[in-house]
Amino acid sequence: MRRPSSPRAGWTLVEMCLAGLLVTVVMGKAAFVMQSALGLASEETASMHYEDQARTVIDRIALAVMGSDRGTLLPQIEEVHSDKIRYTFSLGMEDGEVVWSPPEEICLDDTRRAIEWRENPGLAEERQVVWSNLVAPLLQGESVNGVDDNGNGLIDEDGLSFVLDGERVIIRLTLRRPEVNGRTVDQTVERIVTCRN
Amino acid sequence: MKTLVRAGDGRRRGGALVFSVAAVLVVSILAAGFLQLCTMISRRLGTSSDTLQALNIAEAGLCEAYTGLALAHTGNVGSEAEPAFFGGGLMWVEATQHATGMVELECTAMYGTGRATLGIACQPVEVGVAGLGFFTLEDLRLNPDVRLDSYDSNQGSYASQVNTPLNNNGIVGSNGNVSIASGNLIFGDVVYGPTSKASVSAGSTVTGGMSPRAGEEVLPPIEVPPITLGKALKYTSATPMVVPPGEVGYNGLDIGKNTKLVLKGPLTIVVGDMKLGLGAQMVFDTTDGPIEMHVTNSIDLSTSSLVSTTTQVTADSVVLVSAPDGKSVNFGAKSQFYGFIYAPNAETHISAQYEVYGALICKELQLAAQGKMHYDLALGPTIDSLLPTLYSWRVVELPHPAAVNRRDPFQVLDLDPSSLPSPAYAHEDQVLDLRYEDLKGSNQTYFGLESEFDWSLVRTVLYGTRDGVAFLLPDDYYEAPVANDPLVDLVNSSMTSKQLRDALIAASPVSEEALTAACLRNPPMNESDLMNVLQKQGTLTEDVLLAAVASDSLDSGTLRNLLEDFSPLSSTVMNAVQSRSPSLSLSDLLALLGLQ
Amino acid sequence: MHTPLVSRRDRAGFTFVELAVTLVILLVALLIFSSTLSSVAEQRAINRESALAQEAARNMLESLRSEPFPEVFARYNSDPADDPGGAGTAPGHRFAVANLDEAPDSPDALEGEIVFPTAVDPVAGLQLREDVVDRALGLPRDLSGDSVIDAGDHALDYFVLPVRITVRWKGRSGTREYQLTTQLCQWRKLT
Repeated sequence: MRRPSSPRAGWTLVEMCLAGLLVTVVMGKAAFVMQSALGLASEETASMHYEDQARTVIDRIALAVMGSDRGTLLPQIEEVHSDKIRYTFSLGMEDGEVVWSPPEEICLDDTRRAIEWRENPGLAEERQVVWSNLVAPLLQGESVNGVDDNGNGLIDEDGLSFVLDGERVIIRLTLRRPEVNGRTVDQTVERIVTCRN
Repeated sequence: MKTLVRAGDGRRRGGALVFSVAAVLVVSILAAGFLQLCTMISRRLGTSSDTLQALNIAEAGLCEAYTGLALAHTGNVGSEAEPAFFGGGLMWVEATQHATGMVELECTAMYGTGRATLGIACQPVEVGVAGLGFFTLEDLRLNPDVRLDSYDSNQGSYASQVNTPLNNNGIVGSNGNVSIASGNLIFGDVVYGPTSKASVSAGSTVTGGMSPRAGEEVLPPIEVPPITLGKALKYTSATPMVVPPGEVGYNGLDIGKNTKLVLKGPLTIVVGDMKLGLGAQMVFDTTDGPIEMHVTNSIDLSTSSLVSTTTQVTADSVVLVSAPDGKSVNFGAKSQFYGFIYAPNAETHISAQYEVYGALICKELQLAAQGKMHYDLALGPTIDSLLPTLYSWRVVELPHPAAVNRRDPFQVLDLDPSSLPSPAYAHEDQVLDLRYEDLKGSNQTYFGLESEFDWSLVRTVLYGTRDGVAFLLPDDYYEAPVANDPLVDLVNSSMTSKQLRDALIAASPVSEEALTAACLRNPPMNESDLMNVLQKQGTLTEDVLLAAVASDSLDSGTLRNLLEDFSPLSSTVMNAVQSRSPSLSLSDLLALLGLQ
Repeated sequence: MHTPLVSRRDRAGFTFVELAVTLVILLVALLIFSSTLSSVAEQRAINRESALAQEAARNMLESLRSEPFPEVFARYNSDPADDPGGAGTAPGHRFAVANLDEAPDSPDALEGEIVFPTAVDPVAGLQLREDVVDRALGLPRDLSGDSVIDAGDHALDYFVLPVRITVRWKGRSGTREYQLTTQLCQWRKLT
């Protein structure tokens, strides 16, 4: 039997190169798109997450301050910012008398850049819980220069600041995300609270 | 020509699809992950928003229940079965009365997926009797030339309110007859007993109304605090005796001649017999707090003694005299006393130099001739004064069982929002006893369940109770709308021309309304009296000049003399002069025209 | 075992068609993924707008609570003539919300509004009224404590004050609105 001569079956080198090039280009583009999209998605969701975290934390702080007695807030100095606030709030009634909570404190731990809640601060039975970390050392737009850089009337205020203004307590918080490509991304929230007690 | 190979190598077919499916799976999982995170955060934001709405609806519910307590409601607003609709959500308030008198209000609110329960503890206040003004249980007879008027310490000093409408809201009342002697000036209302009458002598003036009260007033007894009484003390040292804040009691306290007693608030002091000797002084130092003085036997402040208060807060100095009938209750000292005197069992003597700013309630009153008393409207039963005292506000951590389910609240509770009442109409039903003026102006009464009463029939509430607790006191001492200029009332009273002249000159400068009223008074004032008043004012406005032109009191020559002083006159006044009837004499008219 | 013989042309491997199909599938998947990501980004923007509106409304309401209660209506209504400190000195009923664009129908390029139960009388001007119909605010109702609903102005004697804070802005997905509703009253605190 005569061995049939082989037609042009299989890939020629040109075909293979073309195919390889095509695949490389397309897959490369796809990979690039995937990477960009993934990066964007990560950033978007991270931003959403940190915004959500900032709001959640300030909701907790605001609720605590709202239920406190304005006259017992510490420090009591008006229109000067503080990175901590000490308060007591009502727990309800027992035997016809109002029962007040032990003193609590919400403060900024500069070292750990964390918001700490403390019960019975400074006492032997003190309890601590971290409510949030990644707090910026200074409020967004502010730098340590003795000047009100961000135009909010405060100078060099911390990433968590409390200001007493008459019957109002103004709470400001900046969370700083881990550095992304050498730049920081801040999420800032501000809340005004009136003490109900 | 085909080349044939083994078919077994076909198992590599379709590998590309497998790869692509795998890649699609990976991409899908990533996309699903991002979507889920996004959805979770969006849902949390939505829940947070709904929770905020629920919080504010709960605050609205607490407001409703809290202010309802001031109107003798129970504090219960709506219920789980029939909550109130507000702000697109629903809420109800549960009230709990404690033995101490405290009321705890807890409001549960639901909006969308949001839930909030807030609670407050408050102490309802009882309606005080200080709103009775100057009141006696038995017949009230005022000596001549007494002045009784009013002011509002919340709006400034008495001096700043003289001859303003706030000065015209005095209340003088009794469960018996009221006799107004000659020369009395009552800037306000007189309210006598339900079966009694009021008599007004010639030459006296009552600017407000005179009416019987709806029912006899029942005065609450004085509850003397159980403070141990020290032995009676007669103090004669030159050094002032200072009673520090706190609680103290004496069987008797006799502040001797030319000595001084200083009571420092916050203080509750119980004294059996209280006496101020000649030249003695008693100071109510209410700078740091109120002072409540209980006198259980007699009080005698001699005529040359002096009583003073360091502040003008009338609610801070309270003298409660539980002396039985027959005992001496004599406020003879020289004083401008800012406070409240309550002596429901005693005949009380007030000298002309003991000027009371505040309120006075006693069994019988002997107010000396030319005495003055000024009712402080701030002591009256305003809505604000009936608000309970708030002790605490809190967020209730443990939700109501009905609030645990986070679906739409109307579905959870199976309610139609359009059928739910608004908060004002969701208060717990009570027995209502009401006296009111209906839309036609007739007085009506109602007694029964409030849910069966149609409030749209009411134009003005005169008196009301809910479950026997008054929410609006009889209109004889309810805070009336601010009255007219008291001088206008004086002009329109039956005062003689001379008396009116003296009163207006003493009050100068007088308002434009009062001068206009004086010019147009009927019966007219004497010419000389009216001129004296007008000339005392300095500048006269165009309206007053027009009234003078129209006045029947002034003849042609007198009017000319008056208008000459204010020439050149405006065209309006000149036109009025020229068209006056009776007209000016020709010479007077020409003289005036020559000056224009 | 006897394996059948097939054409070399039919030899398995990635044919161009398979490659093309694979790429199309991948591209479609990427397309879906991209649209998901853009939805995420869009949702984030919407969430952010909502959060800003919510924050602004909440803060404004807290500011109202911190004011002396008898002055709240005068300070935050639309009539500058009754401002307690002098005409035009009070904040008024409109306010700006940072980072939100005003709605196209905004009369003054501001996003926020404070709404009380009011009516405008042709003679007397703006009035706080009990007879306004607004179910969400619980009206009509007695505002002055005299148990009667009348047609008078209660700007000076209200003892309960229903209020609505509205933030209206032009968002990514069109004009949007956020509302907060509550009641204010005078609290008599223990001093």
